[in-house]
Amino acid sequence: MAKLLLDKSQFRAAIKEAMQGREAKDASFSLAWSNGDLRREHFARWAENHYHYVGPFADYLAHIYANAPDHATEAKDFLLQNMYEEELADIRHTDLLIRFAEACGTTRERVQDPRNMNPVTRGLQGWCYATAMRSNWVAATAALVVGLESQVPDIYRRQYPPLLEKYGFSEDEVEFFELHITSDEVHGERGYEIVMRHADTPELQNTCLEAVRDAADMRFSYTKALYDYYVRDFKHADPELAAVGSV
Amino acid sequence: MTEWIKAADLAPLQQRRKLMVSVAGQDIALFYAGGTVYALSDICIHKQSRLSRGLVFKGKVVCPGHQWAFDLKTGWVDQWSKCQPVFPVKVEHGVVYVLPEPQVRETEPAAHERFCETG
Repeated sequence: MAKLLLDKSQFRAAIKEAMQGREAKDASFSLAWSNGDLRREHFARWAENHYHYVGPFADYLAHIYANAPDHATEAKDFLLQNMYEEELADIRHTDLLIRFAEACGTTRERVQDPRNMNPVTRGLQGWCYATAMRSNWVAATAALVVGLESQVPDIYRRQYPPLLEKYGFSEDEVEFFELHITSDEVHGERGYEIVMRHADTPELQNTCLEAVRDAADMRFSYTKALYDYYVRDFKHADPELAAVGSV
Repeated sequence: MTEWIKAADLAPLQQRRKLMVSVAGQDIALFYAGGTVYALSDICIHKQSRLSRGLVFKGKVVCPGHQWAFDLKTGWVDQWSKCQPVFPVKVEHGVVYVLPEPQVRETEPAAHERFCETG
């Protein structure tokens, strides 16, 4: 039987449902973070990985922008606005991430060195590039902006207060998180606008739902892997492997 | 009694959709959206970025600093329940006038008071 086109409220509800049960705020690293169970060196490892996931975000969006047709002017503008705010509007968002990383005891050089990310992060980054470059541009927006970016406010609303109250960081050191509570709400909403307007067939709506589901799975796996690699109480006997982490 | 002061000609604001002006010693960001002119204090109440460098999205000006999204009409930001000062505006014969008396809400505006409902 042919699928029917969902109206906007049904489609939005279906997107939310596609993310349920696989949201990164519920992954082991996020829970340990909220519970006050992490130490500064864990946050340092998080920052060294997170940089390679979010650092190229404007690259990802630029590929989607290029794949979007000329007549989707407003959608292209929304993508450009997200890129502008990530990189140029004021302070570069990754510079705030590095400020936090330095407060955790690591360095700009270590954060920017791609050899310091674990293989799951490398997989997430590669998936983001591949999705942006090769998927339908609306589905790619659904994946990266809705499936990944729109989750951020919910994650950081939980994780920002313990950074101040349990882990003892200053407001200046954790500006990255405060910023993203609001910025990714705006960015995610722009993504929703694009997907709601341009996913205009049942098939494309379904593709978008699958893309959102995949994206949520990717972010969940990435977040869980941070716990598995850097927090779980396991050390290799071999010093070289121990330096890499557990698993 | 405070008087209306000429802030800008309407035509360039219609073209550019936003403009920073200085009125009675106050930096004010003018926005043209939905056929209406709105005036907000240009300096963000959060961390002093300039709203005139921000973008308008769904009836809100998004601050370039931390993307606080202020309702164009009321200055209200939902995420933090705070308010950017706004100024009364009138347009006569192609000229934008501003009353340089900042207005700040203490409480959340009702839906019908916001840009999205009326703009």
